[in-house]
Amino acid sequence: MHTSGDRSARAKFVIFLLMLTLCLVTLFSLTIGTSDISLTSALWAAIEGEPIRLKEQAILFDIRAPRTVMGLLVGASLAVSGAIMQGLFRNPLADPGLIGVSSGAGLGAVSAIVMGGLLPATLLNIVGGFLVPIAAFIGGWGCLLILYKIATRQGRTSVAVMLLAGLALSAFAAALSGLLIYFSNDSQLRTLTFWNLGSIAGAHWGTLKIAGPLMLIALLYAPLLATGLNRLALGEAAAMHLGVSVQRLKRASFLLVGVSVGAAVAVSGAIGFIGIIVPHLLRLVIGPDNRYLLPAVALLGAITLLLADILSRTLIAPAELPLGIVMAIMGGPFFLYLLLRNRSLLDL
Amino acid sequence: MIITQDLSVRFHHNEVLSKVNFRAEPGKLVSIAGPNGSGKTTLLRALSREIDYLGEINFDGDNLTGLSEKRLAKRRAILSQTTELAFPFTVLEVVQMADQYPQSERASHALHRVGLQGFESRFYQELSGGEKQRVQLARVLVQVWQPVLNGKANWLFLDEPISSLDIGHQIEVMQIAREYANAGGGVICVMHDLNLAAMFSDSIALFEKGHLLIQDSPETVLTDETLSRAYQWPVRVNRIPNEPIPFVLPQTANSD
Repeated sequence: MHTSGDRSARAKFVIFLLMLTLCLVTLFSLTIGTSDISLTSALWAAIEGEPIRLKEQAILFDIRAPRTVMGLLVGASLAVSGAIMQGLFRNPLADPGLIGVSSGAGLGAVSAIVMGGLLPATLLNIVGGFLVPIAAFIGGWGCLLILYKIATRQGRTSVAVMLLAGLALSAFAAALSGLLIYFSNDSQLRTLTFWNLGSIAGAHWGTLKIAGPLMLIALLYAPLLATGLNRLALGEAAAMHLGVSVQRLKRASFLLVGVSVGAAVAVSGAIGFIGIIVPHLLRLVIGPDNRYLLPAVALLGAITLLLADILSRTLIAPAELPLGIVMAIMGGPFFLYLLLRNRSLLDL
Repeated sequence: MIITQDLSVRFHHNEVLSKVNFRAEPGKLVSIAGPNGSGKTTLLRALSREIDYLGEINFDGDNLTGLSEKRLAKRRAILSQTTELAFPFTVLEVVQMADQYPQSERASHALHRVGLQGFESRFYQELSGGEKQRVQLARVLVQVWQPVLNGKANWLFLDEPISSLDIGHQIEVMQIAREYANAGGGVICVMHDLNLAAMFSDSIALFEKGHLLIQDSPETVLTDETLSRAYQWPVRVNRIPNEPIPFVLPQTANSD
């Protein structure tokens, strides 16, 4: 560690390295796939004015590009939301699941898959293929709003009440999902299972156009919360003494997490681990200062998800493994390794 | 000037502070004393606007309720009895949290001032209780670095700042508070040690069961009768020959 106790120089260097890595991984994600076209050949073709073949163009720009951009945004959103929840709950194990967004979104998705057919045909025509993502987004938001109402008294939101009510509400939403699953038919069950495993394989510009801006706005807003979250580490009273409007900080954080996780879960299903493991790893490397942690977490979150997605489509090519599985298989043991290696730091 | 008018605080149905008329002036160090549960910390928390209260608190001419958190944060800093920190921040990072100018040298100066130079890169959670208390004092000093800013006094609210310190550091911390007041800032300090309160304060506010018993100079407040009444225990006040400062000794059950 730097002798002066100031880790900002190191943090900036790490952020720079992460940016470079993300560029490489992005290029890699564009070139890797079952179809054998390299980005360089496509780019050369474009530069030299040689018309590249339509099929290649389609694969590159209509399949891989939206999938890569979606992977970037979903990874960054989930990781940043995790870091913000941890700052807000003052606990390194907090994640967006605690405030009901994930289970609410899950319930929304299950409802849409199982009962979507009962909706009037005109409505189905309007939403088209977006029924499941829209229902997931609404479900996540609904859950978050109910929790916020329960935990807020006289203009003050108690994070402790939110935590406990979140557990209860999550269990309730899971039970309702279970009930719906019980009544579903075989094809619905298959759709459900894959939704739960998480994937960005179905990403296309259509979904990206709706979910992308939501995640992007939330990501750009996140750094504004950094100083407040840092001061919150001293406790709510001390943060208030330092001029932080704690209630406004809480509201902004919930809003941000609701928007970004709601959108991310809606388009990618349930992808776990990234919100806890990425911030945790980076805190060990650059420290807990959110001014550097949040950008670094966004970058590493994007890198991690893209890498997992690359693995998911290459490991058993031409078939694809669900992203959620790859993530958990990579993430679980790695997290354990971190825990065992850094025991002394964790006790702090 | 900080003035409270009929300040009362209720927790559920218990009145923990009743109609308190307290005042603190810039350039002075005011100690708040009294037995456990007499309302000392509650007064400080009301002055910090941490809890709801009845009556009025006037903060340098403004009603306290009308001031924004940001504006208040520039005018007063609060050292609580304990501060639990989440996440492994370094000592320097903790002190810098209070700085409005991130690149300034204030944090290092403040750490030097509280005798913790060389502690910058240590993890806060690894420190002893007394060291943590001094780190927090450094953070509080950084927040209101100038005792007087644009002709207006800034304030330090200290809740038992010396409770886990050894004698040497107790004096050192009280001297920091004294110097802040001498430079024109205001200091309000909850104290258990009446002797140190007598040594360093301009006035002592003595509380008993939520009431402000008396607020006056240490010589006037520290008498056998007043202290014995407030603490419900026989207390004797002595004077060191040739020194104006009183010193207080509780009587043990078998003395006299």
